Amino acid sequence: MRKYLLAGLVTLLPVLLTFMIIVFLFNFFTAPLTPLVELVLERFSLPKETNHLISQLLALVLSCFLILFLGFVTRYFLFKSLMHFGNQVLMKIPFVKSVYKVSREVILALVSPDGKKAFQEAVIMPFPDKPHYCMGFSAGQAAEECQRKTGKKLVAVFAPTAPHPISGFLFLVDPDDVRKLDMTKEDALKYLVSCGVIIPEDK
Amino acid sequence: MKKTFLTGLAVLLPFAVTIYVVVFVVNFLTRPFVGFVTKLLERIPFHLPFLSHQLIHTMSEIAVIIGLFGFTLLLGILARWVLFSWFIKLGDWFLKKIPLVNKVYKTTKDIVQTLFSGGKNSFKQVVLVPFPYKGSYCLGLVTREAPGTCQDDKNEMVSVYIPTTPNPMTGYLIMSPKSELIDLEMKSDEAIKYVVSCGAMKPEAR
Repeated sequence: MRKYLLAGLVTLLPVLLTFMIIVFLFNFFTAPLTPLVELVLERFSLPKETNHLISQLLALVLSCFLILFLGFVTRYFLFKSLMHFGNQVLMKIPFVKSVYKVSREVILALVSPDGKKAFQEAVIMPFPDKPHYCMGFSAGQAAEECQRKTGKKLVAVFAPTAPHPISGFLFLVDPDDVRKLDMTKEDALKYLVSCGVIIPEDK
Repeated sequence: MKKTFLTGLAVLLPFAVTIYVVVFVVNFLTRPFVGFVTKLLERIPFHLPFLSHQLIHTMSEIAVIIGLFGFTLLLGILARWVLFSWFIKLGDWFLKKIPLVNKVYKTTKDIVQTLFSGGKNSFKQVVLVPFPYKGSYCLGLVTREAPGTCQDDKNEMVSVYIPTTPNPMTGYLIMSPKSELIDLEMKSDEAIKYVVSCGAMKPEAR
């Protein structure tokens, strides 16, 4: 009895979790545009629930198109100057200015080729003290000033917390202390999220 | 296709994040008052056809923001007058007599006063802290000198805040001897950006 219950749970839970995460992401990305689409669709006098679902689907498609359109249009000179103007306007409003500036710079840095290189490799580094190790992801060279002031070569390592890998510390370490791992970053992530229960198979 | 999508995303995301943060802050500030103001506005005798419920709600939010701003300014002006500062002291004394309320009030008052008036230099100086072990570093922000009981005879100890990545709102508070810290020239907002972007956004080399 207990065995069957457990087996059932093992089958059911991953499906359930996947479903929950997809629904969460779906709601998150459609939230901004859905009310707009709903307003338009209200003229067709559909039942409320159906209306909401269809609006969400349409909102998702719309935002995809909007993103593609923006990316396409940015290449043209006219739109470049238009966007430059928009930036200038946003940069004049207090409070909005600081939020916009920071998020823009961070996102641009993450999208840039340099940013994409980050988190490519799973590594281990000493933590909290040497002979102990923790798992992390290499995040490229450390900032120039940090290397100049310490007089050492330093690399940045992002060491996430377990089981939530969306928080952690950014350590600047001697490259000799960092050891690259054979496992993929997905395996490293699984190891962290499971608090060490899932160990990738040896190759 | 993929490149176009990424470019579009890079244009749209900062905009979306800004709207999200601004809406969050506005909602947070106006939540206690907005219900009351909305009811007040709905009582307006003349009914315009385009005045939907949503519009009234937004209008009351704007009204509340302006009201809060004005109220804060007014308090700041009044607090400088002798009569009113006496009133404020009375209110202070009164709040400190109520059990439980006095604990919360005193703590928040102390923290806010220190952050806004005394600690002009708090979180300004960016340093490299040897953390977690010697030879490895973390970016930290110096808050001020460590408490007296934590000082030792040989070194001058200071409190350093080490923010986590990518959310700098949590972190460790450690006490380090001043001689172990390496002062950096970068500004604290540059350091925060460096930490928030997980090292992708490096401060410009000087």
